[in-house]
Amino acid sequence: MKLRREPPPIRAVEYLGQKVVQFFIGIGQLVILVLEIISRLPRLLRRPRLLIEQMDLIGLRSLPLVIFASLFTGAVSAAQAGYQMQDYAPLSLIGAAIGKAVILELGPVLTALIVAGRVSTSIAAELGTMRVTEQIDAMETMAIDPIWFLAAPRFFAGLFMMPVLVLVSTVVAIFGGYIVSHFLIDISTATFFNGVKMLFAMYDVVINQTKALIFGGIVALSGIFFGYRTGGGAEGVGQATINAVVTAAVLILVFDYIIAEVML
Amino acid sequence: MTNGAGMSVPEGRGCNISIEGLRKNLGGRPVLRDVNLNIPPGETIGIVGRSGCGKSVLLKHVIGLMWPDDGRVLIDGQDLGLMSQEELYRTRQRFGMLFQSSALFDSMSVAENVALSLVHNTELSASEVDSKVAECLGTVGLHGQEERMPSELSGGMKKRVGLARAVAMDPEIMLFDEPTTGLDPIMSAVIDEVISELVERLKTTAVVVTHDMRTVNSICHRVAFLHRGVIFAEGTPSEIMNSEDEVVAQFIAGRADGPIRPRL
Repeated sequence: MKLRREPPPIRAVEYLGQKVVQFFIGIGQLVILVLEIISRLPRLLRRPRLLIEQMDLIGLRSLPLVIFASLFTGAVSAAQAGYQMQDYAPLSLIGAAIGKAVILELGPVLTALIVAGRVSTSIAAELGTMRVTEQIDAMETMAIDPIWFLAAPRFFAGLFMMPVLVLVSTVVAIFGGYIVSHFLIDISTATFFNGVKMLFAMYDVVINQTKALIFGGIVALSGIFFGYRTGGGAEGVGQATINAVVTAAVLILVFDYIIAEVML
Repeated sequence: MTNGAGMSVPEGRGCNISIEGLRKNLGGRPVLRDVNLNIPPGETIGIVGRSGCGKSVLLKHVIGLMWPDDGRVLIDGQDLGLMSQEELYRTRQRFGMLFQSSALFDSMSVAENVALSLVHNTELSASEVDSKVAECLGTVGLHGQEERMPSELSGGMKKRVGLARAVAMDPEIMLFDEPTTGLDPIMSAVIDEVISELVERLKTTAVVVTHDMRTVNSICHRVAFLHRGVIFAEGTPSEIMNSEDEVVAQFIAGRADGPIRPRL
């Protein structure tokens, strides 16, 4: 049985045009949403309970997952580096290679992708459900601004907590690399950390934290944007959740490249 | 004081609601074509009509959850569409609304649902909020249910919590969207009684959207029949019930055959 009719060829251009217009309307709505959220920051800081709750939910509760994933990211990096370098470069450089790769790339990007899977989806599903069950409308009728009450705490919690998560992830990933290097590749502790120190530059941490801040905003904003404009019941909530995580993942990779081009 | 149907209504502390030339298209289809309605302070008016005729859309315009394509809604002479966001939220503090789905915040307990507006819109102390919540829940017969979550409540209990939440701010205008839909006849009668008592005690202006003629008979001073995007007929409940107009009579009698041809 054919459930959905494809648009007839004669209407394909019209269909494409509609999609392009919808895309630009979406961009406009996103910009307005960001400006509205930013304008609520002073009020949010005056009553910080909402923000602290979200920092706990988005940040602290993501910590076990981030630590677990980072430990293995560092470990697999060390194993791969050891395998690749064994015939071409001294293994004493493993620390340097892992330190540089984790601080500049793996720490921020992998943490952001993991947190996107957990946080963007949860925000989109929660706000989407609230939208389709009229809870956001109810909030409006009670003279409570949903941008201040729902969107702003989630956005700023993402923005403030992602740098912390990335910092923890970076340290844990280097530690994971050290464990494999020391116990399986037989590199001494001093050699490994001297390698890390050898190529370390403070500017790398600036890049690491800049990426974290921007990725934090992307992760939270994708969830908020798609959750907030959900329509169409349970199917709509599912679609919003998919859109949120896919958009977050794509934007993280795009901005990762842009930041690298601008800052390196 | 008399209403639009020349019937006397109690002197209320409620507001005057005036709807002038309201038009609204949804998905390219005209839902409201030219709605004109004046609701004097203290009157309880029932908006009746077939499913999908635009009753809930009309109600959402009255509280500014939707905006007209043309026409205006005036609350005590103030045009909702010309208000700043701050003025709109201040005006909404004078409203209480019961949603068809109850729209309770499912992450909050019963007490938190009822207290939310009080906590964010008033300067009441925590103990004053608690006692107000207990008073509101007592009014709807739910004393002692403060700690329960919405998921643990029956449909009738959810409606009553929704009512308690709607009256928490002692509103001057109350809006009820299908207050008895989905409830058994006994629970419907209970909800009708509670609404009647609340409206009388608070002396509010009330708008009840329903297609339940029993609800209309028991709580409304006046009825407006919405059909094809206009107020097709209005009068007292008995005038509407005994109308000789074929369209109104078919709706009241609930007959499939007649001038209204339901699309299947």
